[in-house]
Amino acid sequence: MSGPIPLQWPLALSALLFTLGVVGVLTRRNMIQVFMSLELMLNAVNLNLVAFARHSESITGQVFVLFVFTVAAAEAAVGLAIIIAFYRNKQTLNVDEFNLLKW
Amino acid sequence: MAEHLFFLYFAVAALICGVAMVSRSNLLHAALWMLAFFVHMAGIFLLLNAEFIAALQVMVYAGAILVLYLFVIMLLDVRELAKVRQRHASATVASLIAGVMGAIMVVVVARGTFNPIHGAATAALLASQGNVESVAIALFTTYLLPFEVASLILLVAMVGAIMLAKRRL
Amino acid sequence: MTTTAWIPALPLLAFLCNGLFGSFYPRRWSHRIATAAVLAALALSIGTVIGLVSHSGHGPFLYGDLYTWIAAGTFRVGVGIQVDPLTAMMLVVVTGISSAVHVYSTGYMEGDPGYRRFFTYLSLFTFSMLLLVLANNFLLLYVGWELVGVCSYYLIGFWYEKRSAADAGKKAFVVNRVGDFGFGLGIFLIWVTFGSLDYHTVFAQAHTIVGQHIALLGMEVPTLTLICLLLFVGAMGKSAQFPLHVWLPDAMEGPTPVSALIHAATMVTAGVYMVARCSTLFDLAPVAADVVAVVGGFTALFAASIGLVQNDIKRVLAYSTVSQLGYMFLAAGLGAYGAAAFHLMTHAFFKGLLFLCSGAVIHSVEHGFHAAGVHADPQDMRNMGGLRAQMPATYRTFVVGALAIAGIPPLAGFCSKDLILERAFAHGNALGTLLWGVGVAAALMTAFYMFRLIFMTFHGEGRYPAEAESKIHESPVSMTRPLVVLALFSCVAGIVGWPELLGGPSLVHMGEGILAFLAPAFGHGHAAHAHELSEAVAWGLMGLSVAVGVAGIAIAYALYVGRPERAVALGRAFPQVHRVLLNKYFVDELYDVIFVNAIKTLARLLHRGFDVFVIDGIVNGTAIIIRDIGAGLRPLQTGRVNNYATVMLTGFVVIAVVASATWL
Repeated sequence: MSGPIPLQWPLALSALLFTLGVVGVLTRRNMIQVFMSLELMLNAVNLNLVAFARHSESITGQVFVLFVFTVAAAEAAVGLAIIIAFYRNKQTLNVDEFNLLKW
Repeated sequence: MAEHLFFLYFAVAALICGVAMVSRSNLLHAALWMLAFFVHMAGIFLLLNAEFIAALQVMVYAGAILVLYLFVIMLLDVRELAKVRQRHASATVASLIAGVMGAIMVVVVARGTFNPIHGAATAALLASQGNVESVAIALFTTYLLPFEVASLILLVAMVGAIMLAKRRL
Repeated sequence: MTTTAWIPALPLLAFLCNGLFGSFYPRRWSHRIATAAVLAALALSIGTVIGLVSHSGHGPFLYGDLYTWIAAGTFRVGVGIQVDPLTAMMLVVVTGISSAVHVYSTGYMEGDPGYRRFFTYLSLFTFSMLLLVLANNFLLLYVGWELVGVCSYYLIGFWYEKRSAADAGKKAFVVNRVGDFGFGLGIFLIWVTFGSLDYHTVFAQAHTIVGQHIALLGMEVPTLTLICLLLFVGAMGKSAQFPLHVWLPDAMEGPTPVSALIHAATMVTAGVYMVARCSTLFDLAPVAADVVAVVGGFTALFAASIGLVQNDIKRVLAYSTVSQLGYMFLAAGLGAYGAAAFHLMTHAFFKGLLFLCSGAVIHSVEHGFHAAGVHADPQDMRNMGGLRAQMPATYRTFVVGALAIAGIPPLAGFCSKDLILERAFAHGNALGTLLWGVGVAAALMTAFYMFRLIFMTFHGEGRYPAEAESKIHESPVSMTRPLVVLALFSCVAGIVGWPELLGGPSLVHMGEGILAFLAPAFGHGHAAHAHELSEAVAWGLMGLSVAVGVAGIAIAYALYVGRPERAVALGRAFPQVHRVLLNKYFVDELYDVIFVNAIKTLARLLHRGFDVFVIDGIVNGTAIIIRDIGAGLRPLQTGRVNNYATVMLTGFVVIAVVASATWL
């Protein structure tokens, strides 16, 4: 347990968080929580990027995290707007009501 | 040594926060767990020589995005939201498959060997120059165009969100 | 060549103009355009004839391709035209009769809702026939041939709301298809044999394949005879020869100007024209030529006998046409192509005249009945009588036409009919003499039924309610004027072929006459056999044919004007004969039993057995299988986003497992 933190640690953490996010997306019925789980997954990806940026001694990974932030912010804004529009139409946030794919 | 202990703490805490966030039925509770999760993630970023990212994590995620979530949750009828039955019939299957995926990833990470790569942005340089400056130099030179595009994405997202959420323009 | 090309192009342009843009201008412009085009074509045609006559009818004739139409390997067909004396004569006949019909139609079709459509069809019809006679190869001939058939379908079924008219159109088309099938096979055989469809090439090489045989159903058949017979099958269909004559009487369902056009100038003459055009081939295939003559002779007699008892004014004329066409084939089969073509021309004038006259009668009677509120068939001669007083101009021109067809000198029909009979007698062998006898008998019948028609229609007492009498009156000028013009031609058209016995064409300043004019267009093999008749025999023949014509008229007068009750009594005396003739020898019924019912039964069998069971079974079975598979798979499509995401993840995990298994 000497020296810097091994690369495997953040990577493993990232894998676990990502899995957690996937489980959330797949199992939650509440749309807001589905979106929250998405944020979890994005954070896991960010962690990966930062870990590799340190490992490869490059700043690029961190710059990419900035872009991921941007996309996450945009996604949150648009996604929540969709949620509001959806709620206004259906009076529910149950994902199962998103069934226009099957007519 | 202390570094490792801090990392373990942040990691375990982040995992607990994540589990709690995903599993809570009450949306407000979930949102608060998400806040805790974001903060612990910022701690991990600090440990990984990404001080600027850590700061942004707190400001953007904990500050902006989380507040956005809270606003939406409060805009909508929380009691109505609570009625949503939380678990799917297929939830077990989905969790299982996701678990397999996670196991594969962890195994791959654990069994993999990562040869050290040497680049320009060494820990020493970052320490002397400062993380913010390093990121800024890269952002405004090499990644200037993506940076501008990112601003465009935000603009579009803003317009789109207003379009979607407003009842009548 | 381009000048000649304008002859068919003008009606085509009129057709396109009226057909495409007709709704943009007042309807009277449609007949102006159509009539102007056909009159211009007539002028050009007359110019063509004058040009040929000034060369004394001898070459070089116009022959060449406007452009190459099909070039596929060795198969090369051009759109080309040929103008020789035969074509030139046909051009004048077609455009001339067509012009008269156009002018007449402006009066006859006045007020018809399909006025514009009618003139559009007329232009197309004229174009098709002109294309047919101008073509310089068999394929283009076939195109014109088929176009004429299609146009006849359109025009016979012109009043398509009427069930019988629509059926008649279909019947004409289907019966023509039977003939066209043979014609098409003939053209295939020509291509296989000669490797070309050009008239020049085919006719020039015809003598080289005499004696060549082709295997057909295990028999060796002379190729040339087979070609000629197949071509003649087409001619039988188009020119309504027995046993494919059944469509023509039904074609009377169309507007009367169309009947005139079909029966006089276009369509039915196509078969005769084609046989005359292929005279070189028929000369070299004497068996086929004999078949042509026998079928022609039989049809002449057969149709004339039916015409004796028909009561529908247009049906009498229809059977008369079939009979006269039989005459033409009789002549052509005996090698007297000139006589056949000459009769074609004179017949075009007087039959056109007769039809237009009958149209005028029907038109007036129909309007009279309509105005008087009488419900009676305006085409049935039993509802007419005494119309002479109300329609003097129609009566006079009708009589001229009837005298012409009866062969009374010096009218046109006399010259051509007498020529055919003389050539038949002069043919020398037993067949010629037999056919001569048939021709004389048919001539007697022709004279009889034509004047029976006149006496029943125009003489005696009116057999219609008295209130209709004052309502029936003469047709408008636009209808009577073409009658007068055609009557004039029916009188004088014969002089171009004035009998040698009476001084020949030169006597009436017609140079060498039409036979010499046409001669270069025909082969020279067959007619040479005919030997010259002595002058006494020739006089005798001529006297006999005139006497036969007069006798027919006299019998008709005796039966229908002198003692009308005797005609009825005669019918009663021979009830079987009368019944068979009235029902046209039951040919239609026979066809119904043999072909129509058999095909219907077969069709029903195929429908019930094959179509419903096998085809529908396959189609429906496919649908059912797909439907059931779909029903089985439908639960997979929950419509829930989570489930889709789960499936997506599953796929990803499977890939990841496989990938990591190889990597680890």
